[in-house]
This record gives sequence, structure tokens and C-alpha cells, in this order.
Amino acid sequence: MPNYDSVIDKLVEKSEAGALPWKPTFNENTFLVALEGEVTFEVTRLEDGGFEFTMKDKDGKKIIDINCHNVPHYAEAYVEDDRYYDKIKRLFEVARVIGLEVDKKLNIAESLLDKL
Amino acid sequence: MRRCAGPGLVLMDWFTSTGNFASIAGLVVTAFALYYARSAREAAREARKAVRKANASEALDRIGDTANLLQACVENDLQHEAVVRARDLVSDVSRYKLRYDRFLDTNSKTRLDEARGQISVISRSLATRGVPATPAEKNRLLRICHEEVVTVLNEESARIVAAIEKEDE
Repeated sequence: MPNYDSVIDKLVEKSEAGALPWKPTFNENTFLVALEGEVTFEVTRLEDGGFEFTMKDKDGKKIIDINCHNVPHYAEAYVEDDRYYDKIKRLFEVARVIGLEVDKKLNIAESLLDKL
Repeated sequence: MRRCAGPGLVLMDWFTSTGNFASIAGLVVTAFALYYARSAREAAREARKAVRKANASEALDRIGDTANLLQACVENDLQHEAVVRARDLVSDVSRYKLRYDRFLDTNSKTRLDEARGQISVISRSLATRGVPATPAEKNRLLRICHEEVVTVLNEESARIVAAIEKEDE
């Protein structure tokens, strides 16, 4: 199985630096970003608490498809994808903050509260 | 002197004159042929340009029709039909991107990828959760479909048609 750590780490790093314009979708728990017409990343928080991360190429084919849950490595239910859980969870959070413009809306909320 | 030249030289003069006339006639014919060939090439180029533009518009119309069908299916709670139309739309955007690849810059390709991603999420949601139950959710779906897909495709199509026109100038 290929090692996806490097691409996920860079994605988190660039997202946290504000370089990636994550966008909300019809599913409130899915965010996506397309890069240079070459690749599209999508991150989803699943209903069971897990996360899904996909990378598609320019033709829409899935290159990475990770479905991970918070399962310790010694547990019987542990699968290979689960080792990415912490990173994907962090990626989802930063994508959500960018996609929903959370910081901007928090500032608006604070200024409204200050006026009271 | 001339009188002494005899019938041989007269015949030679005649051949020379005829040759000159034939050369001039040949030149005229060649000029006409070149003119008509040029016109034919011009007409062929115009026809090619018109076909390309018509194809681009036709492809966009088809996507627009599919988007309208998806909208109608969602409005009428036809889940299976809506899923099929959403998948059609994903395929249509992929085909459109591939077909007009050389006319698309990086920004356009990125926008089409985002549009495809948005429809893909809608398609999955329709397949797993069905058509949205509340009018607010339906409106949100239709708004995303319109703003993120149809509008983007309209704009990119206009750019492609402009690029085709510019290329043939």
C-alpha cells in the first residue's frame, strides 16, 4: 500500500497557511478543493465519527481513497487506513474553518456581542 | 531581307506568337485557379469554425438539459431518476473537460473540477439519503446545482467559443 503521509502532511500544512480555497458542498460534512485542474481533494466527516479522504486525478479517477476511524492499532477492528485518522481529522477541521469562513463569522459574532 | 526569309521563318513566328499567347492564357487560368482555391480554403475554414462553435454550444446545451432534468427530478421527489441524472452530469462535465482541454486554461480546468466534485457529492447524497425532504434542503441543492455547475459551465463555454473564434482569426 502506498504511503500517503507526505501528501496529507503537505495538504494540512498548506491549508493551515491559508493557501487552499476549500469549499463547502451539498453535504455539510464534505469539503473539496481542486488544484490547477490536475487533482481534486475531498474530505468528509462520516456519521459514525470516522473520516473519508479522497484524491481524484484530472479525469475524476480516485487515486487516494482513505476511510479511517479512531481505532487503536492493537484493536481487532483496526485497519491500515486508521493510522491516518489524526491527520485526516485535522485536515477536516482546517477545511471546515476555511470552507465555512469560520474565523470571519466568529469576528462578526464578537463585534455584534460587543455592541450589546 | 524579310521577303527572302521564306515560309520556314513565317511558320516560326507563328509558333512563337502562339506560344506566347498560350503562356499568357496559362497564367490567367492559374490566377483564376489560385483565386478559387483560396476562396474554397476560406469557405472550408469558415465551415470548420461554424461546426466547432456549434459542437461547443450543443455539448453545453446537453449539459444544461441534464441539469434541468436533475432539477425536475429533485422537485418531483424522483430519487432514482435524480441519481441517474446526477451521474450523467458528472460524466458530461468530464467529457466536456477532456474534449475542450486545449481551449481551457488552468483556472477553467480547476473550476470544472470543482463543478464535477460538487455534483459528485450531490449524486452520492441522493443515492444514500434520497431526495431532500424539506423545501429548504431542496432549494440548497438546486442553488448549488445552478451556481456551482450550470453557471460555471455557461461561463467556460462562452470562453471556449471565444477561444475557437480567436484561434481561427
